[in-house]
Amino acid sequence: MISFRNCSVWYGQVIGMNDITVEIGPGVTALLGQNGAGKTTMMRLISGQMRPTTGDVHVLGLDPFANVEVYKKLGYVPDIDNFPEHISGREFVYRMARMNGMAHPEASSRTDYVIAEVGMADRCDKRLKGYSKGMRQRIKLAQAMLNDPDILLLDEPLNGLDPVGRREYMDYLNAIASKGKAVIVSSHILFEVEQMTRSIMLMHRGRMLASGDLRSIRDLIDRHPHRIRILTEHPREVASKLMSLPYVISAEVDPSEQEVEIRTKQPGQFYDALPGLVLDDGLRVYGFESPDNNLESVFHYLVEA
Amino acid sequence: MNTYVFTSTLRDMLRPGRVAVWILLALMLGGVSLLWKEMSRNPLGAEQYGMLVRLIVYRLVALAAAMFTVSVISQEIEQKTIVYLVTRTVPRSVLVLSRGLAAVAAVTLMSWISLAVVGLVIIGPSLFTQSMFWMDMLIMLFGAAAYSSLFIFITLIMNRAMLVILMFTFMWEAFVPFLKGDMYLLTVNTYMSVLATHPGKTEGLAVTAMTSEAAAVSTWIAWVVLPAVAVGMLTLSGWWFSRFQYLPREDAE
Repeated sequence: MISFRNCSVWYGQVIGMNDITVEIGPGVTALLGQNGAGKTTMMRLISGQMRPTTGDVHVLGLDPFANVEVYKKLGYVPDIDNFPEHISGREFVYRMARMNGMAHPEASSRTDYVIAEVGMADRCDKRLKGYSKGMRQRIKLAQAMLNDPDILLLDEPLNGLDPVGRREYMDYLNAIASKGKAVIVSSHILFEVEQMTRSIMLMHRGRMLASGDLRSIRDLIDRHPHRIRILTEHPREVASKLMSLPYVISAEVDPSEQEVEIRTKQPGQFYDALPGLVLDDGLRVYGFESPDNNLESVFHYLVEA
Repeated sequence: MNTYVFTSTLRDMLRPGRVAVWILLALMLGGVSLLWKEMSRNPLGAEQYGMLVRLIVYRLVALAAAMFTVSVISQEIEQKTIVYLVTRTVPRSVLVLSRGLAAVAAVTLMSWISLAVVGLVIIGPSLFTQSMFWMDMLIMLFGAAAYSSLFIFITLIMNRAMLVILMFTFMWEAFVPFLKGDMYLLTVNTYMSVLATHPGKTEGLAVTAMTSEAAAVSTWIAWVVLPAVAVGMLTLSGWWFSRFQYLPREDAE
């Protein structure tokens, strides 16, 4: 559905996208990368807002730049939260429907439908000025769904949504993808996209670091030692217990005597065993976190690799 | 042209908050006219009306065009809402044309209000029976079209074009006609003044800096130049907007 061939984008002397060749098909695909990785550039290329400096982009076999034929089949949720603030959410979506070439009756009924779909039916008549970030995200999704697009682009769509809203949003996207449509979601939060799809493209500083199934990238990550911090009242006791586990490489007690940091090459097994240790051995654990379980460490690892 | 884009843009441009500013400006002009009338020893008539219209009201057309044309594309880029316009099924050239014509309509309407206020204060209700008033309405429509289309193009080729447009309005249009030579031919106001049918216009033209060369511009040339500028600039703007990329301004918050 979407293809990039040797695509590069330069912003003056800064490279926004570096020689990317990739194909994107139906289903949910996550575009993962830190801020400045090139995700929004990629979205803008697909949505025909900009042209690549070199290379080609094709959407449904067409050059997307300012191409009305592409826009008939494409929905775009931008990362910006700006709207014409003086109008209501309903009015905004209706305007977008009219600008998609719908006549008044169709635009009206379609507006009502998509607004209900995104769960904004009871709140859409307020002025956009008073909308929360989560409400704005829903209105952005509503305007993108007006033409029942074959390709849906979402740039950081989960920002500002509460946990329930996130779950609803993700379920909605999965339902769209299950109809054979392409849903491309950009995000800088790994766990967020993990819940949505297994198909990811990992970008870093304009380059495509990896693309494909999340599991293979996870395996890559898991091959290097993970750090896990455990908050506890008795860090030394916990450290000695954990060191008895075969997959724990090291344990280090924090000088504050309130946490212990362990390193393991099999974080999955460790997480599986931890509840048993807590319950069976009576270890008092208040919480745990993994400083390595974030994109930064993934990039660090992949770049080093 | 896309009728919906035209009407929705015009509705936005004519929001009460925006119109109120222009009504206030028109009333201020009316106040100045009234003051002039009160302080004048002889009763004011068509000649004084013509002078005031050429000196101030015609210039107001340029100012209104400067303010309204910013809403066509430039403001959408600043507010980052441009993304919603350029990813719709309306072709970009049609988008610029429709929004541009909405700006022309808004500018014309606001200018007409000022014209009517000044005319009513100086001439009174009989203003509406005078052909020069209706001619002024037509001239201002053409002037609005020329200024607006020119300014729309400037906003498309420059970032933060407002400064350039205001300089054009208050410096170029005001002072270039005073320069010796043919530079005055490059101002819109020259052609508007040439078309005006106010009594005692020759003197008026001199006052508004149309030096004696102004007579060299015939009315038929003026009738051709103003719409030609409008059509040419709108066409060019449509082409330009279709060809180049317009992204939300990243540093705008």
